[in-house]
Amino acid sequence: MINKAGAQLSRSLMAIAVSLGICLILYIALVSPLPITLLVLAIFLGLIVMGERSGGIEKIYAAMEEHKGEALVVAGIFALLLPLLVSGNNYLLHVVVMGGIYSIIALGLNFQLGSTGMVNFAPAAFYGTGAYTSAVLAVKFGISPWVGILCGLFMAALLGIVFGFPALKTRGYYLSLVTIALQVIFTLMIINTDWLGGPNGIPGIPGYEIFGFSFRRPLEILGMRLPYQTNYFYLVFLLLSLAALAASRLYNSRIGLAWNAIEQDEIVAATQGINLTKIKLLAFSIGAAFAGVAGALYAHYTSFIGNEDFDFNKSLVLICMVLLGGMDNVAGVILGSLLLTIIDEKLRDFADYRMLMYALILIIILIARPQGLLPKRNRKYQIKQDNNEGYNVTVTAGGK
Amino acid sequence: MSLVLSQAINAIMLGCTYSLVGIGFSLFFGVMDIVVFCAGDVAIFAAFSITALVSIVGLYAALNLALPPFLSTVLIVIAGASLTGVLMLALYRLVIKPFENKSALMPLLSTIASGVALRELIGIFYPQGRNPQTFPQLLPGGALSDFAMISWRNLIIIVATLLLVALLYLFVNKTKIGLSIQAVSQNREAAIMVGINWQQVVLITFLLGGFILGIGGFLVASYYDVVRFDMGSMYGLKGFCAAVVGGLGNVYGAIVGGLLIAFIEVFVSAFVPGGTAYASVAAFLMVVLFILFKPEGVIGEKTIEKV
Amino acid sequence: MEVLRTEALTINFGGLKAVDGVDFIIGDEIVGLIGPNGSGKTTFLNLVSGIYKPTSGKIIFQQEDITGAGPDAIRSKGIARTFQTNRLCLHLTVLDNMLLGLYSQQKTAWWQAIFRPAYSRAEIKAGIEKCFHILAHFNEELIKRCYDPVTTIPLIDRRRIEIARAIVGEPRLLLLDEPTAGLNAEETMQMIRDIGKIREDNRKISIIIIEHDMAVIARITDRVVVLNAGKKIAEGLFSEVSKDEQVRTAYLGG
Repeated sequence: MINKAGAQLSRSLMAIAVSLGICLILYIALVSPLPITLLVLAIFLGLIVMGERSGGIEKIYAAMEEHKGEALVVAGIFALLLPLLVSGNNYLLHVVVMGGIYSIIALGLNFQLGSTGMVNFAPAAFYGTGAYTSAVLAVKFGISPWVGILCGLFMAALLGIVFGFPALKTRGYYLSLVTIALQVIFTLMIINTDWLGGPNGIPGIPGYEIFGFSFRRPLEILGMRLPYQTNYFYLVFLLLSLAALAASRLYNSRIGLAWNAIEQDEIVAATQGINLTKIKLLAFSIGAAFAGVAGALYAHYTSFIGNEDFDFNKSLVLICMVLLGGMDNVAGVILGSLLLTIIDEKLRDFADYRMLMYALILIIILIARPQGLLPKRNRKYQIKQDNNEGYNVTVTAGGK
Repeated sequence: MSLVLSQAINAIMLGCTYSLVGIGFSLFFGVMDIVVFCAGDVAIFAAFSITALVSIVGLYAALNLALPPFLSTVLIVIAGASLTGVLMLALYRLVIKPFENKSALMPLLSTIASGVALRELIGIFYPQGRNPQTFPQLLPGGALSDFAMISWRNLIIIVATLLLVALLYLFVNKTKIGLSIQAVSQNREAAIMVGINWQQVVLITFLLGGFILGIGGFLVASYYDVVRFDMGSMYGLKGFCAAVVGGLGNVYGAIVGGLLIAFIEVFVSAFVPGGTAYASVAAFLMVVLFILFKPEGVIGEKTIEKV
Repeated sequence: MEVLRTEALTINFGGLKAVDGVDFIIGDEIVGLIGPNGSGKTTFLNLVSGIYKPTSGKIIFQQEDITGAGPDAIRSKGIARTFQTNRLCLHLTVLDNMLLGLYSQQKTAWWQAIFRPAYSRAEIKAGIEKCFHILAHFNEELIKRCYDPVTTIPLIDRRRIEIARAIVGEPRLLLLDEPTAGLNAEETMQMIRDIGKIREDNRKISIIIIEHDMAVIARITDRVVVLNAGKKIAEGLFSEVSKDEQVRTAYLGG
């Protein structure tokens, strides 16, 4: 019994340590210059590969799955303290806010790309729909940005159903071309529609307000003045946690299972009673809804949106995030999005070389580690074997 | 009437340039079953190579001392296109071969990324690369006839495309290696079993495809008189659309597809009020509808999915 | 008691009548579907399970006309099937494959998946218990390996999982497409026992089985239907049908 309790404790400590380690890696990647960020990423990847070779990583995965709660609390506390840790550096906070926003979109994109295996080259269009919906409502009609989030979510989900329609009839390269075409059409429509600001975008989008407190004002706690990005940081990470919870619960439900079945074999999926039309459109509309929320957040965060924020290149970046992190792995997708956002921002210093390095990084990832940082895992349910009553099954809430 | 005719000729020219990229897509798809998305950027790379050869190296002026202008143009274009042929081989080795027998998404993404890399390399290393470059006047510009403004250039673009397609037809149908390419396109396993050197076929296809893309890049740059480093993405996308509308893997379908897309674009911008801005939208919408309702392409046959 | 009836069921593949005017009926029994290669047996199952739409004719399941319904709707009405080439979702685990078989029985919608009310939790729990219960009937070992991807499972067990996946959703009619293909003699005997057990445990499952091994057909079927070139040429007890002159020339090679 004592041994058992000891093992339990050590696994719990291991989960906490790993969670803290990942937070630290992200933190170092965030605050260091680009070469060190890339080095940290390489070391991180090296550790994972070493763990996979020796089989040690399975123990870590098992510990993380068993002690999800502790690991999440550590990550949560770290997130809460982050604004203090970067001592109010507003640029670093900006990077993290963008990382959070992209994570939400990438989680949504993962439903299509990762879970269901449907190529979607238009996530930026969903993102843009959310942003433009909320921005237009606020700027032209004076509607509260909080309502705007819901409207953005709804409009993006609608567009998701429209863009998802081709996925019912076609697959592979044809589907990728359709979604690329739809993405390009979306960008062209925005540029050519004067009512949406055309090429000039929409300036002067108001920020969020809560009980008279504007999110655009610095946050003062414990006598410290933290830049206004802190407010958005907390808001974005609250929503990211909700998105991650929803995503992992969907993954662990019969819906997630149906998505995986479609990815593996559509005919088998259909003969198990899965309505392909409904379930595929669901992957598109829920995924788009995630992106819509992220878009609304972005619009009211930056106060200006333009068509170049939502073009084909942005879609590519989002796809890279899902690939880098690991398809159909909620934690991996978030990790991938955060890391890639950090690298992307660091590359801004090399303005001319930015896209080039981006492309090279993508090619290297594809060749060296196509399964992403954290590969797809087998779905686990919490089952406790009980000798007297057969199998006692409990279902736990999912998380990051 | 003359407006319609001149627009039609305009569309045929544009269609020719799209077709050549479409043919490139279809060739690669036929042999490898993959979409080489950087085709447009490879074509624009040829246009830049030719610009460099003429304006920086001064090759055209030098050749003109010894040869008639027509011949020096041909030589320079062939030099540029050969360069892209070699580039395509290098790309095959670096970003396509590692993904053989992997998920189709991988080579798609790696070629998209290499397209981005290619255009950024041009933007960074070509002198003033991020600014539009005037494309050298290698084709005679004079008008052939006053009616409908047919110029020598129009004629040459169209004739060059036809000539290239005719040569391709002869190559694919009359030479041993061409027949091997066909065999591999139809059934790779069977082709390998009857002793066709698949690797060799692939290499030659990429060389050939790169060459055709190079000519396409030359023609499209001549059509616009100007080259920009980022032209390749849209050009490549239109070429991909041409290939899909024609039926992916069907080389001759790509010509029909290219013409169809060009006609829609040109006629929407010429005859629909305010249509200029929406010309590409109309073309892409047509492609989307095509994929949804006739995915086998204009000349393809419908196949029954085997359960 | 009639479970499934087809009337003049026909499908045309570009001029070839793969199934040609087949009248078929099954009650509470195991019916063997036999015939030479290419006689339309698998196509018949594909028609009944909704993968193909018939060119003409009718499919009536429990007094309800289901002609032209999609495979998902047909599964939900209570017709489950297996495939000739074992078609599990290879990269999913044993348990996930089993849970797929319960998909049509479960009700959790997407918003319930997100908010996860007690109802949905209970549903998952009951589902897993049921999967284990069915797996235990075939091979206890599979329960211990429930988190292993199917790629790591031996062929006999994959076939068992596929059948278990089909029956876990309590179908009224089970379509088995060559369940013993690729198995050795001993494994075939085990499979015969397994199939027999399905009927013993649940008299409310009717089975249509395609099989090339006549020993299997002779042992487990109540009745056989013989197809040749898409047409039904004989039906009845196997012992009688096997003596039929027409069947012998078409199938048993005279």
